[in-house]
Amino acid sequence: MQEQNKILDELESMGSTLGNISRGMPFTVPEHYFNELPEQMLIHVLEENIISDLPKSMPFNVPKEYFNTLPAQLLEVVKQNEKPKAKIIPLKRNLWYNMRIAAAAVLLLAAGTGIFHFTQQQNSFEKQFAALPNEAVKEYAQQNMLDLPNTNMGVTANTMTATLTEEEITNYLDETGWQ
Amino acid sequence: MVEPAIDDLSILASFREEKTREQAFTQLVRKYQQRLYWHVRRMVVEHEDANDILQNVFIKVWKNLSEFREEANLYTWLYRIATNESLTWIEQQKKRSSISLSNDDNTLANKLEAQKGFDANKLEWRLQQAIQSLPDKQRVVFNLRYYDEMPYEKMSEILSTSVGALKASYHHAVKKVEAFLVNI
Repeated sequence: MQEQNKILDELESMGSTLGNISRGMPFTVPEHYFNELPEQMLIHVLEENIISDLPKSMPFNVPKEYFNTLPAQLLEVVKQNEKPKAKIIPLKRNLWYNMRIAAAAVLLLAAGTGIFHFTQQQNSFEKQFAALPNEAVKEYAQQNMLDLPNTNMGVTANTMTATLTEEEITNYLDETGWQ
Repeated sequence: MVEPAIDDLSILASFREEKTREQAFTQLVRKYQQRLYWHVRRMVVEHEDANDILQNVFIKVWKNLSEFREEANLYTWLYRIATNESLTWIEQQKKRSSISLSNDDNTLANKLEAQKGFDANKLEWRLQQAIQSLPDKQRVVFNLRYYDEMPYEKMSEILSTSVGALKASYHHAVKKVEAFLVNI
C-alpha cells in the first residue's frame, strides 16, 4: 500500500493522469489455469529429471581393435570396388583438333550428298530416256541427223540400206525428188 | 489473488530435503505463479506464449533452486529469470520475423488486437497498445513500476541497472504512453 501511494504520488508529480486509470488487465486467462499449473509444473520437472538422469553411455559391445583397423579395411574395400577409369578427353583442351574433325565430317557429308544427287540425276535421265516411245526417238534422230558430228557411229550407208527394202528406197527417192 | 502464507525461507529449506522437495516446489509455484505469469503476459501478450515461457521459468527454478543463496531475495531472483526468459523470447521472435520471407504480421501489436474482447475504444486496451509501443526494456521498467508497484531498488537488482537510470526510463515511458493515448 505504501508503495502504491508512492507510485501515485510519483505520477502526480510528473503531471501524469495515468494514476487515474484502472490498472486491471484486459487479458483473459483460461479457466482453472492457476489451479492446475502447480501440479502440471511438478509433473513437467519430474519428467525432465527422469530424462536428465538417464545414463548416456551405450550398453553395446564393440569388437576389440575395431576402430583401429576400420580405416585400413575401408580403403581395401574401396580399392577392390574401384572400376578402371575411362579415358576422358576434355573438349576444351582439344578444341582445335575437334574443329578439324568437324570440318572433315562436313566435307565428307557435302561430297557424299553431291555424289548422291548426281547419281540420282543420272538414274533419273536413263529412266526417263528408257520411258520414251521408240517412234519419238526415231523421229528425233531423223530430224537431227545433220546436227550430228560426222563421226563414225558405226552406221554406214551400206548398213542402213541393208536393212531397208527396195520399196522403201523407191518411195524415199520419189518423195525427195531424186527420181 | 490470495497467496499462501508460506515464507521463502521455509520453501527453500523444504526444497533442499529430498523428501519434501516436490511439495516445496508446488508451494513455490502456487505462491508466485500469478505474479510471474502477468509479468510475462504483459510482455508477450498471448496466453500460450506466456504459458510456455512461465513453464521454462519454473523448470529453471527447479534445476537451480538448490544453489540459490539465501541472502539474495527469492522474489527478485524469480523475477530476474522471468524477465530474461521473456526478453530472450521476444528477441527470438524478432529474428524469426526478420528472416521470414512471408509477410509476417505476427507482431505483438497485432497479437494484442487479436486478443479476445479487444476494443480499441476502451481505455484499458488503448493503454496496452501504448505500452506495447515502448522499447522492450523500457516496457519491462514501466510494467514493474506501474503494475507490480516494485521499488526501484528491487528493480535495480532484477535488471542490473542503476536506480537513477531506471527512474529516468520510467519517466520517459510515462510520457510516451500519455502521448500515445492523447494521439489516438
